[in-house]
Amino acid sequence: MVALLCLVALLPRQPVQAQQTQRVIVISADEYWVVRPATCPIHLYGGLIGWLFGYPNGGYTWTPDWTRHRVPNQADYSHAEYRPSSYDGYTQGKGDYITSGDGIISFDTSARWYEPELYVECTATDKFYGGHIIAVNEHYHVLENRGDIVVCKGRGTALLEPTGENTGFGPDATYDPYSNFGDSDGCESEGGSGGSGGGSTTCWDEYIYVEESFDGGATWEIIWEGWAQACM
Amino acid sequence: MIVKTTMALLSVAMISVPTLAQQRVKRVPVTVVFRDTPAAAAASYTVLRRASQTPRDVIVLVGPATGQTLTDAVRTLLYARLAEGDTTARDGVVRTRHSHSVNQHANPYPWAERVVRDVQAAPEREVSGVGRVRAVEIWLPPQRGRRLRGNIK
Repeated sequence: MVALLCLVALLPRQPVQAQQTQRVIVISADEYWVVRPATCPIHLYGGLIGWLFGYPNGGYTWTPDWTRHRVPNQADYSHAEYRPSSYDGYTQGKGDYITSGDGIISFDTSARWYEPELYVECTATDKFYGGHIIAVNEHYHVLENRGDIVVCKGRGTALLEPTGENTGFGPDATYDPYSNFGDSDGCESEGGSGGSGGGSTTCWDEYIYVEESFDGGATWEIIWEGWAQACM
Repeated sequence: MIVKTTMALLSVAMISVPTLAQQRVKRVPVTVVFRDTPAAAAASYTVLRRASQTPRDVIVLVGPATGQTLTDAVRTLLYARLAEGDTTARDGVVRTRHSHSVNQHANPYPWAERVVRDVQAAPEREVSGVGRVRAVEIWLPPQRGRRLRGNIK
């Protein structure tokens, strides 16, 4: 009995699907679909999926090929985080790009950085017709587009400049400081040094302290310190 | 049935993709004021953050301010927002200090000079905690949710 228990304990464990409700869609008297959670695949590729995932992000189109990076909840493989399989698909005619050592990418000589990531829900649709299953289709729903996160340059943070005559979000895009809405939750409004075009840009790293006084300037408290990038 | 299935799939796909319109986000305001003090020979600025007064964040320009002056002030404010959030919990004055003297200045924002001209020509109005000054309100991208490396104290 003990040996049997030990044997069971040693058996490889499959990830357990979280308890999720199935959804039934009635198409006609003879046809209905059952939508259920499905394990997110290791890779997502182009084609229709690529079309789904290839929407503009911060002015650029991400690669259509994605690799499953992480499953946040090990009991629920129907939700996963994806990152690009490679950076080759990034350029999309946008010109040169460089990547940092930790998997972030810049199109504008380090002025702005992107770390594309999608949080995806995976479902399968079993299609029944005349009482028989005739097809199974998988569907990948982007719950959250995290591609607009701006991360810092190399060893420290890059200064997040909220400017740029040309924001990179379109040929005529400009930053209007009097507008209370931005077009995107991130990169487009940080024109930075690379946005204006014309002439060379010199950037340098500087170590700065951000200090705040809560007593009218008598004493100062450091609230942040680190490397920042500035350009001229 | 194939056509119907394809159309249904496409409609599901269209619903799933966030549109650009959905990505529009509210910027965070800052009031730029100009304190006309004839005695001030050099341009300077002060960045105020307030917890309960409105406007919450105020940049006070003094003297012959330029677009570069406003740019430096905005950068200081953005750093503070990165460290503390787009709104603060305590009233304070923010400044940045370099580890060594830096002679170079970062590029002025292309719109900064225009805003400085606008504020210098704006009618005076009462700004709480500051007084009666020339003022305009500008909007900056939210800093919440961004990754900040370095050390938050």
